[in-house]
Amino acid sequence: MIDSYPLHIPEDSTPGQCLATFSTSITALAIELGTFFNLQLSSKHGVHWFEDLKYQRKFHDSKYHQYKGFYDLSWIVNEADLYTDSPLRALLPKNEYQFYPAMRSLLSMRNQWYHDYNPHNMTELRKALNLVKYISEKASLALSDDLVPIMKRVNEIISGSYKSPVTQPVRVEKVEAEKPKPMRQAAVGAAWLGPIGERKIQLTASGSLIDLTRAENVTSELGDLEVNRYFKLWKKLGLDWLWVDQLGSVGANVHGSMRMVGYWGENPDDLEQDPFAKFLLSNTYAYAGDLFYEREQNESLDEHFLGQITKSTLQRGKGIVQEGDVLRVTWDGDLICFSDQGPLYIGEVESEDWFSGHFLLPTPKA
Amino acid sequence: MSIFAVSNASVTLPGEIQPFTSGGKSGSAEICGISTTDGLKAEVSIQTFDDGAIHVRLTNFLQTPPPLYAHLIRNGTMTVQVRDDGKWVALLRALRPGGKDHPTLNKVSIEELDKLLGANTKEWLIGEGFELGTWADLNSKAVKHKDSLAVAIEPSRGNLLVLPWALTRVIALMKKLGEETYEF
Repeated sequence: MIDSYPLHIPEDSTPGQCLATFSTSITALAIELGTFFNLQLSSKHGVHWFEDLKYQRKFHDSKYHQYKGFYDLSWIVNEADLYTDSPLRALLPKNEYQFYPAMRSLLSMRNQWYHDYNPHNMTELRKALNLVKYISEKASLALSDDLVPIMKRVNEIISGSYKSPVTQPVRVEKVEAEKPKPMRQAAVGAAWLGPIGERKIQLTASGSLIDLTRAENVTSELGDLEVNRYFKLWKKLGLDWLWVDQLGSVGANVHGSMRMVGYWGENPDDLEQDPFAKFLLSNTYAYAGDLFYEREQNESLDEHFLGQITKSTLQRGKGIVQEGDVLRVTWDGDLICFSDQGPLYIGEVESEDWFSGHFLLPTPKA
Repeated sequence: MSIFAVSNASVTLPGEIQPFTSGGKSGSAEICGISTTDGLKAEVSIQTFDDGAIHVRLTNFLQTPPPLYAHLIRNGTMTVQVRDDGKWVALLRALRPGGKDHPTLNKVSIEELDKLLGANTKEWLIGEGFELGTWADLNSKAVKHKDSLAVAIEPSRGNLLVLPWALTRVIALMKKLGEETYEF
């Protein structure tokens, strides 16, 4: 660690604490890497190495971004990942086939954190710290050890076993006022906001929906289960208890945290949803030249027989996404990207055109 | 009293032993508390029977459990053996869907445990004083499940077995081990 740049140890799970820890961790990573590169490359190529390198890149690519310095995570990742002749490569781990994809994923996370409020929770923070830990360990950085107490604290906060000794200001403004009003949820998949719904429903193993207060089977309220995609999603996620609020939004615990999982009713209003807050499929994708590929298996998409919708989405993406940028697909088929310029909505893709097995549910036929 | 974090569960060890009887057998037990972010509140006991048997199992729900945990009162017991050098050894098998209508104890890999814990399981267990290896490595009397993961620990710290118990039972159910077709 750079002594003057200490990591923030979180006290609780509030967005401010998450952001402080996230920001100091990735900045510490960028500072330690940048310092190391500068030391090595100055002695080898002289103190103007960074300006020289930028000039060289700009010479070959007129759209090259004007980076301000070598402590910028975006510069580090793009330089090392996109240019096989990069001098950074000799200074980074070799034969670690996950190293560059991990750096790329971290950059994508940084963009997501600063362009969107949805990741500002402990679960997402833990994912990010795992990546920073992996990168700093492989690159033999001092940061790797400094992260240990931070990660321990994050685990303690998530599990509920840490209580901050810092006294929180007690909010006494409530004089047993009216019940808090339900809040509008951002999208199916977003972390639940505000009080959970009062109507508690159990989705049974056989696929019935039981209202636990009324002790009544209310499955018919969802209409035709063959076409209700939220019902299909709940079955797929293996949910059991659901809470429905007065707006008809449904919340449930997914992997231990409360998430918005759909809308209640026969033909629920599909309100305008934030595509960047939806459940994401686990695979990640990128463009490489004319190819569109899945990053983990390095398998490219067969684009010969694509339907019109998927085809035009991929075309559009080619024009606006930078090579190497990480793309994701939401559970209902939106192709999105958290780029350096901000979140990009590319368009829709359909399950039958896609890599087999990636979609949770098939795209409904129009 | 000490409190431990195991992924999305918090485990409280009171550090006191009390006598108990169960099914006509008597012994002593340490009764730990477990609570999770999705509403499980329960007691988990480390039971040492007078005949020498040692079990780690869920003994009471303190409130109606979310349905995914309901069967945990009847399965998921961790059986502990005592090695020649006195250390306690136990298999690390985790609840996952198998042939039955509820998840059962099955083999689990270290990568799967890392995913459940959200951290490096090996470092965590070793940090708490466990030995980690295969069942055959840690227990010369192993007959079945020789290549399954297992842990060993000093008997004075044997109550810490509740930590891997929580990971391989409660967190395995919470995060739906073996059904990972999606990631959040």
